[in-house]
Amino acid sequence: MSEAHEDDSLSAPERARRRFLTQIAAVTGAALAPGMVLFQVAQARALDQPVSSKTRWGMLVDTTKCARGCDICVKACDIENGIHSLGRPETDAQWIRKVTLRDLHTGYVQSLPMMCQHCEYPPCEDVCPTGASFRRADGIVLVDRHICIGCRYCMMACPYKARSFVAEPLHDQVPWSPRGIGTVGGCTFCVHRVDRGHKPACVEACAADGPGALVFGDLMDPESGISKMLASQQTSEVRADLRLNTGVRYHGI
Amino acid sequence: MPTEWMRKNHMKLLFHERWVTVHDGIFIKGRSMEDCLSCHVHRLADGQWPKPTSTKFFCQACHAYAAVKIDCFECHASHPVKAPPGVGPDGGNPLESEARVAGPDAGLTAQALTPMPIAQDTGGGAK
Repeated sequence: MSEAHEDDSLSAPERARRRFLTQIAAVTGAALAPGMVLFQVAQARALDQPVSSKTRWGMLVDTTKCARGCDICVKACDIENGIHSLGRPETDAQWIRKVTLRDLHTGYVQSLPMMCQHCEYPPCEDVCPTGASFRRADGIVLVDRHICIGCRYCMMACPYKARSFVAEPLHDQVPWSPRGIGTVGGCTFCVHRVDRGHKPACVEACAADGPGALVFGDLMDPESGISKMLASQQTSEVRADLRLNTGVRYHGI
Repeated sequence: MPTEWMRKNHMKLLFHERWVTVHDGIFIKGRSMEDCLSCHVHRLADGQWPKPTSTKFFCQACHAYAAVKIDCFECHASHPVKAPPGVGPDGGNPLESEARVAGPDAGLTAQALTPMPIAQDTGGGAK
C-alpha cells in the first residue's frame, strides 16, 4: 500500500528510470551467477553474526626484519592479556616468546617470535578429551576454559610449546582476556581485537615501536596485504613435515 | 528482566551464551560478563572492589546462602576495568600507554635494545 503511494508521487520518467534500473540489476545478477565469483571485500564482522570459514586469520613473520634482543611483541602481549610473572620463570605463562636460531656450521644467527601457529589441523584439538581446545571457523585456535579440565594433553601435543598452564589463583585478569587457575591458555590472535576489526597487540606494537616484522590478515582474501605478500615471496611453516597447515608463516628461515 | 525470573534462570543464560560467544564469536549486546558487572558490582565504602568470595559481592550474596560455589571469577575479571589507551578490544599499541607513563623519550625501539647473548636468549625473557 505504502509502496503504491510512493510510486504515485514520482513523475512518469522517474518511474520508468526505476523500472529500467531494477531490470538491469536483475539481468546483471543472472549473468554473474553461473561461472563468476565475486570476492567480497573483507569487512569487520557484525558481532551478532557467527564467525565463518570464509575468513582465515593468519600471520606472516619476516625473520629478516625481526631484531635479535627485541622483545616488544612479548611485552605487548603481556600487557594486552594481563600476563604477569609470578616469580617462577619455569612455570610462568608465556603466550609468545622469542627464539634464537643459530646455524651450527656457519654461525648465522636469527631471531623469531614463536607462539600458537593456529594450525588448520591442530594437534591440541585432536587430543583434547573435553572439546575445550578447538579451532574456530575463522581459523583461530582457542581454549574454551569453561570446559577445560586442566589435563594439559594439549601442551604435550603442541609441537610449538605454545601453551601455558595456570597453576595458581590469579586476581588481576583483564575483562577482554579471561584466564585462570586450572586451565590452559595460549595465543588467541587477540581474538577480542580481531572480532572488532583490529590487529593483534604484537602486530600493532611491532609496527609502531619495533621493526615491523609482523603482518596480520585474512588468508582467504586474495586482495589482502598478507595474501599478496605470501604469493610473492618464499615463506615456510615451522615443522612443515607435520602438515598442520599453520596460520603463522615465516619468511627467511 | 524481572528479578524473580532472573533468580531462577540466570544460569541458563550464562550457560548458553558462553558457548555461542566462545565458539561462534557471537556477542549479544548487553549480555556479556562485563555488562553484568558494570551494574551489579560497586566499590565498597572504602573505595575497594569487593572480592568475588565476599558476601558483599553481588553473586555471592545469594550463593553463600544457597551453598553454590561458582568459579566464574577464577578466570573472569570480577569488577569493571577501564582499558588504558592502546590496550583492549578497541585496538592500538599496548606499549603506547607504558611509554607515556615513562615520559615522551622512553618509547622503545628495536635499535635501542641491547642484543642478548645467545645463551640467555631462550624462551623470551622467561629464563
